[in-house]
Formats: sequence, structure tokens, C-alpha cells
Amino acid sequence: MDFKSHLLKAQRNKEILLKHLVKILGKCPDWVTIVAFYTALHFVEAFFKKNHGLNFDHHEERHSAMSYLMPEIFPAYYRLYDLGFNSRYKSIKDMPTCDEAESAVRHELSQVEEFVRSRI
Amino acid sequence: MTLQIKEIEKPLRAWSYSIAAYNLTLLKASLSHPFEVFNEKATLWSKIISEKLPWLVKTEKALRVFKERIDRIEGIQALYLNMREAHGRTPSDFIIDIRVMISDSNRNLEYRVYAAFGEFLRTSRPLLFDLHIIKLRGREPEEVVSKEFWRYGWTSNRIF
Repeated sequence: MDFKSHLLKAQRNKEILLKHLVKILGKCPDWVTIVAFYTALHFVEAFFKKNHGLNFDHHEERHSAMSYLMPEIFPAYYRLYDLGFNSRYKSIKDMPTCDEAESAVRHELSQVEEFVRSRI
Repeated sequence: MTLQIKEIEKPLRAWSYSIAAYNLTLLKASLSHPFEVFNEKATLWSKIISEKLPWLVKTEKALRVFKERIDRIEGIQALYLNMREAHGRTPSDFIIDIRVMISDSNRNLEYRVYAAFGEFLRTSRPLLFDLHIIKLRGREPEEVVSKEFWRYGWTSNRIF
């Protein structure tokens, strides 16, 4: 995908997140964090494609590149990745809390989006 | 209360020793079956030892530095590791999975762990690692980590 397609995908995910999922955050904090993570992922992919001509098939390679090309937002992005991972693969007890899901949208995703939009 | 300090396991080092030991076994076997061993196996192991062992050593050194950084962060309960194959994705052909245990959600603490991990990734390229924080929420580490993981060393606030 080109960088514009990644941005469109990120924007679409974000709209679904804010218009629908956030309203039922108390019932599904896990799905909120999953969509928040994939929104951030497409923002990050847009940045890599536009500025470095890179795209990644695996998380590990993307994280390695982020560690030196976008260290400013690495912790925020990684928290989204981790919360999304727990939501997708782990038990109910490992599921993100409502506070974590709210933070994912308000802080982590906002940091990632702001960083990317100011650089592409 | 009696405190027992568990011997620190060094699986990566143990693995590199086992490769060396296996190589000696091959050498010994070659005395009775010289052509079979040298033609079919020795080339393979020679390749492994010459190409992969340096990455194994580099991985172990990198992890030791990372663990020192993690140990300085207050609130870390344990660090677990696992090695998985990743052919063609990294010169070492393996990825190390890392699990960091904390008691419960703590955004500030998690950010410190992720920042340390980001720095670790930056300085360990082209090796690949994957980290996840596990919130124990009243459970023991052994209850939540998969069996193939091993506990890496001793952490600041927990003595075995």
C-alpha cells in the first residue's frame, strides 16, 4: 500500500473507534485497544512508506526500525501493541482495563497520530 | 525466613556449550566413521558454529545489558525468555521472546520498560526481539507464562 492508503485506513479505523467503540468502552475495552493499535499501525506504516520507502510484514522488524527512526513515540506505540496483543491472544484476566483502553485512545494513539501527521 | 538464591540459569550459554560438546561428539564419531561424519555432518555444524555462534554470543551479551537496565526499574517482578526460529528474518535466524512481569497496570512503569526495550532494540540491531509485559494481578509468574519460557536471573525485588 502507498502512504495515502495507509492514512485512509488509519482514519477509517479511528472513526469507527471514536464514533462507535468508545461509546461502549465499558463493555469492550479489549476491542477498543485492538482498533486503537491497528489505527496506530497504519499511521506508522504511512510514515515509513512516505519518508523511508519502507513497509513491514512483521511486528518485530517494524519495532526494530521504529527504535531508531521514531524513538519519540516508541513507548506509546509499543503500549498499544502490547494491549492489543493481550486483547487478542490472552485470557479475560489479561484483558485491558477500561482505564487502559481510555488511555490507549486519549494518550497513546494521539501521540502516534500527532507525530506522524507532523512529519508527512 | 530463609532466603534461597536460585542459581542463575544461562540457557544461551548452555546452548552454545552444548553445540561445542556436540561438535566434540562428532569428532569422536569421526574416528570410527570418518567419511560419513565429515561429509554429511561436519560441514553443517561447522557452518552453524562459525555463522551462528557469534550471534548467540552477541544475543547473550545484549540480554545481559538489557536485564541490568530492567533491574534498575522499581516494580519489575521477573523476566522470562524464550527463543524461537525465524529463518531468513535476522542473521541469527532466531528471535528472543521476552516477558516482563509486573504486579498490575502502571502506565509510568510500562513506559519505562518500553523505553528501555526501544533502546535495547536500537543498540542490538540486526537482532530481533519481541517483548510483552504481563500483569500478574495476583497470580504467580509460573501460572501465566508458557512452559517453554525460562526465568532469566534474579530481579531486584524478588529473591528465590
